[in-house]
Amino acid sequence: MRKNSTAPWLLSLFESPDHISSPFGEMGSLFNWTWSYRMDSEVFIPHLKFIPTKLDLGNWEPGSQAANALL
Amino acid sequence: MAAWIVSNCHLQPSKRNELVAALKNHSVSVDTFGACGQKKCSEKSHHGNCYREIADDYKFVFAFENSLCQDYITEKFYNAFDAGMVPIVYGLGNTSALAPPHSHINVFDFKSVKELAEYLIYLDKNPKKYLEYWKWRDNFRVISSFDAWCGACERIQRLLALPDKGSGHVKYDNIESWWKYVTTTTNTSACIHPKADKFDDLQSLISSH
Repeated sequence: MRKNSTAPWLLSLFESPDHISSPFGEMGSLFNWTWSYRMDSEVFIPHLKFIPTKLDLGNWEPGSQAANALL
Repeated sequence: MAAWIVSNCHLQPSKRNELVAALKNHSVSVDTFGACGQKKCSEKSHHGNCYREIADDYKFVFAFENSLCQDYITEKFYNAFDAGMVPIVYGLGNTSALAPPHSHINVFDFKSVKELAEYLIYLDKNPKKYLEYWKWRDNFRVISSFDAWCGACERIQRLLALPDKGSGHVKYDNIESWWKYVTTTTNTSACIHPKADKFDDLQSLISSH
């Protein structure tokens, strides 16, 4: 199927194997990457992110990375 | 005390209905919302909105997945944090890697459903202890990765920039073995299927994984 293409193939899967259990057949060896909830997928995007609201200024020094982040 | 918002009560390889029943048997008070519950959110309310609508009335909300599969976790986890309830997670998502410590309760951290129920009742009666599950909010705010397509696009651009464009990967020689198992080199199934009567030994349930 991919003989005529050098483009990488990405398979996205968002349901669990309990709901997508049918064999992949000849598509089984088609894909280079996956996009799924599995953390070992090349494309892994969790549903949520926690953003720190405070910078740790414990080692605050002018010119330091933390200081530059404030500027 | 606890709310459960559920739209599909029949699809449940995880036997989550039975887990809820077992918690009720151990005196946890649970109100069920949605298609399968006695309670309903307002008509205009859907998805995350239902969580926000009920958040003032419940300390905990169940984030019970219908499948117990490697890393599988859905938006219920986010909805709980967003609305302002403490999520109780039943699933195999790596919640301690995704969320700050002491922000949620994982069913599989307990020996039995009885022990879990006793802990929830303890927190319900001890507001100080319960509020420790809110401390993370001093240091973090939670956002939804709603723009998943953008994130995926960026990630794909980075993959394409790699010298081998990922073509050297052997992981997916047979994608089925990756999908169905925890790794391609073991035959540990990615999913576990509890028997309905196994909730009194949660550790033996998870150890099969």
